[in-house]
Amino acid sequence: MGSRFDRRVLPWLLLTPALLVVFGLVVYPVGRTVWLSFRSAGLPYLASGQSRFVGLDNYRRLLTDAHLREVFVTTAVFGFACVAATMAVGLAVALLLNQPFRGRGLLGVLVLLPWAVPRVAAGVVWRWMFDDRYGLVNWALSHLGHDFTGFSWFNARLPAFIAVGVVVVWQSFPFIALSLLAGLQSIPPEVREAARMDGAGPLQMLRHVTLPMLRPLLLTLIVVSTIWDFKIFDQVYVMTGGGPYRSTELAAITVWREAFARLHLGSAAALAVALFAVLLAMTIGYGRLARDEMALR
Amino acid sequence: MRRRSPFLALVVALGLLPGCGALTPSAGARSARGPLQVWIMEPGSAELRAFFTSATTEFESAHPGDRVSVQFVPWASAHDQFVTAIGGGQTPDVAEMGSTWTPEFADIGALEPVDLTGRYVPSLVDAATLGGKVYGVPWYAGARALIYRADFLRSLGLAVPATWNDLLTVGRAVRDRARMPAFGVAGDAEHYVLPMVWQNGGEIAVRKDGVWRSGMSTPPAVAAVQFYADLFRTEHFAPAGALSWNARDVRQAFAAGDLAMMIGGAWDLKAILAAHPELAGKVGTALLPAGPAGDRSSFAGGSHLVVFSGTKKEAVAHRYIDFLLDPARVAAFTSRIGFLPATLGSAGGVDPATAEAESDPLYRPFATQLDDHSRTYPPTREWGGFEADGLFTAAVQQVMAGRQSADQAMKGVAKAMDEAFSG
Repeated sequence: MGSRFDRRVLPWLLLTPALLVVFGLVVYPVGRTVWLSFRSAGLPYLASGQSRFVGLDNYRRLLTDAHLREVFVTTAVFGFACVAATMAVGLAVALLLNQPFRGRGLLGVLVLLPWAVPRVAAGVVWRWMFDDRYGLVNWALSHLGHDFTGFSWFNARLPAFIAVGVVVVWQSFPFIALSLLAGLQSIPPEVREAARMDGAGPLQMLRHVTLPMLRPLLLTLIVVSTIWDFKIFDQVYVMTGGGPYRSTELAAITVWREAFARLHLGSAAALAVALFAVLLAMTIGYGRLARDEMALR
Repeated sequence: MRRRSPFLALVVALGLLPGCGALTPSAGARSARGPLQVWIMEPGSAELRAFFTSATTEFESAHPGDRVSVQFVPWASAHDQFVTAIGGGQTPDVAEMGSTWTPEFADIGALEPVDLTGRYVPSLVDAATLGGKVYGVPWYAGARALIYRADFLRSLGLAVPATWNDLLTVGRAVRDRARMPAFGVAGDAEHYVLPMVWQNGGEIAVRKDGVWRSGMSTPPAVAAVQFYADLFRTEHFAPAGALSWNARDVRQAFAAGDLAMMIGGAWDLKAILAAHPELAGKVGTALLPAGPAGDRSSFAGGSHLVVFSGTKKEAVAHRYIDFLLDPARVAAFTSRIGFLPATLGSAGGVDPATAEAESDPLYRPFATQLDDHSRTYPPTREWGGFEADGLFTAAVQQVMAGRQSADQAMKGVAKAMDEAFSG
C-alpha cells in the first residue's frame, strides 16, 4: 500500500459506514416520498405496490384545495407563534437561572422536567387539565377572577390552539433555556463588567451586550425550534385530533389523515414534500442570515 | 468553532426533518417460527385482558408446541395500525377486525377467505362478504341502546322516553328542573347520530345497479342530523364541551353522575357499573327512542376474526380461531365484556349467552335491540375510510357548532361519499 492509496481512498473508506447510514435513514426515505408524490397510490399500493404516475396532480391539489391551503397557513402561524413564545420563555428562564441565588441548582433540574415528559403523555395530562368541567386550568383561572367555569377549550380553533400551544411551549422551552444558559455562561464577565462601568442598566445590558453575543446561538435555536414546531403532531393528535371540524389540523396531522385515513398516499407525500421544501428553504435562509452576520464582524 | 454554526444548524436541521415514526405494534407475521401473532381490539375493559391471559394459557396447554402472542390495539387507532402493518409487511397472523373494515382490507387481498361452518348473525356474515367470498368469522355483536339514571327520572316523575318527542320532553324537564345535562350528545360519535337517519326513515347509502349512492343529503337524513345537532345547540342537553366528546367521554360523564341519559352498549354499562358499584340499582336501560318514522334501529356493531394473507402459520391460526369460537368460550367472553355472541345456537334457538343476557332485565334491552332493532352500515370497502377520516363526525360538529346548516354539511358528506364510491 503506497501513501497515495492512503490519502485518497482511506477517508472514503472510513466514511462509508456513516454515508450508508445517512443514505438509508435520510436520502432513501426522502427520495421515496418525492417519487410517491408524483403518483396516485391507495391501499393497494401498500399491499401489492400498485401505483400510477399522475404528474403534478398531487401538487396541483395542494394549491387548489381550500382546506389544504388553510392548513399551510395555520401551520405557519401556529409554528411561528410557538417559536416566539418558546424563545421568550426560554430566554427568561435562562436569564433567571444565570442569577446567583439559593436553590438555583434545584430549579435548574425542575425546569428540565417538562422536557423529559413524553409528548403523548404530556398531551393526555394537559388535555385533562384543560377539561371543561374537571380541569385544573378552568378552576385556577376562575380563582384568579374571570369566571371560566365550563369554558370549553376544545370547541373552537383559537382556544384549542392556545391550549395546544401552552403544551408545546411547556415541553420545548427547557431545551432552549438550557442552551441559552450555556451561552450566557460563556459570555466573559469582563464584557459585562465593562458595560456596567459604562453605566448600562439591566435592559440595556440585555439589548446591547447579552443578546448580540448570543446571536449565533439564538439563530441556531430558532432554526431548530422552527423545524420542531412546524411538524408538531403528537400533542395535537392527542389533545384535539385536529378537531373540532378539522379546524386545528396542522400539516403533519393532515399528512397523516391523507395517508392513513383517506389512503391518498400520493397526495400525503406531496404535502410532506411541500412541508420539507418550506422547512429547507427557511433553514437555508436562516443559515445565510447567520453567515452574513458573521461576515460583518 | 463559531464559523461552523450555520452549517451545523443545517446538518442538525436535515437530520431532524424526516421525523415520521409510525407507531405499530411489533409483529413478525412473515416468519414461520415464533408465536402466532394476534391483535385484539381494546374497548377499554380490564376484563378483556384478564380473559385473554387465561385463554392463552389454556390454548397453549391444550396444543403443545403452539404459542400465541396477543397484542391489544385500542379501537381508536386500530385502522391506522392495520394500514401501517400492511404497508410495512408486518401484519399479524390473526386479528379481530371491526366489522365495517373487513371489506376494505379484503378488497386489497390482505385477508384470507375463510370457510364458515355453523350459523352466525346474518348481518355480520354480510359485512364480511366481498365478491361472494367470506373474509372474516363473526365473533361477537352488540348494539347500543338507551342507558338512563332511573333514580333521576323517577324523582322527577318522568317516564323513560320511547320516541324522539319523549326524548325532548324528558330532556327539557331534566335540564330545567334538575339543572343537569340530560343526554350525551357527543360531536365525535358517529354511532350515535347515523342510526338516527334510519330512525327518521332515511338511508345512509343505497345500492342502485351495483353502485352505492349516498343517502345523507336526502331530507330524512338531513332532518335527523339537524335533530341531533339541535339537542346540543338549541336544547343544551349536554355541556358545551360535548362538541368534541367521543363515546368514551360520554361514558365518563355518565359514570361521574353528570348525565341523565346516554346511548351506549352493554359493554359501556358493564364498565360503568364495575367502576362505580354505587350506581347499581340506579340505572335503567331501554330501546333507543323511535324516530318519527317509527323506527328505532341501532347500529349492529361487531367484529370478525380474520386471518391475514401471507401468514406462514395458517394451521395454528385456524386452530386458534376455532378455539376462540368454541360456544362456551364465546359465551364466557361476551357475557363478561357485555357483547352478544355472533354465533347462533345449533338448533336454531338462542345461544346460551344470549339467553343469559336476556334473563337479566337490565341487559335484556341490548339483546332485543340487536335482535329486532338493529341494522348494519353499507358493507362497502369505502366505509372504513369514512370512519377513519371522521367524515361524518367533522360534518356533524359543524352543524352542532352552528357553522353550517345540516343541509350544507350533509351535501358535503354525500359528495365525498359518492366520489369514494365511484372510485
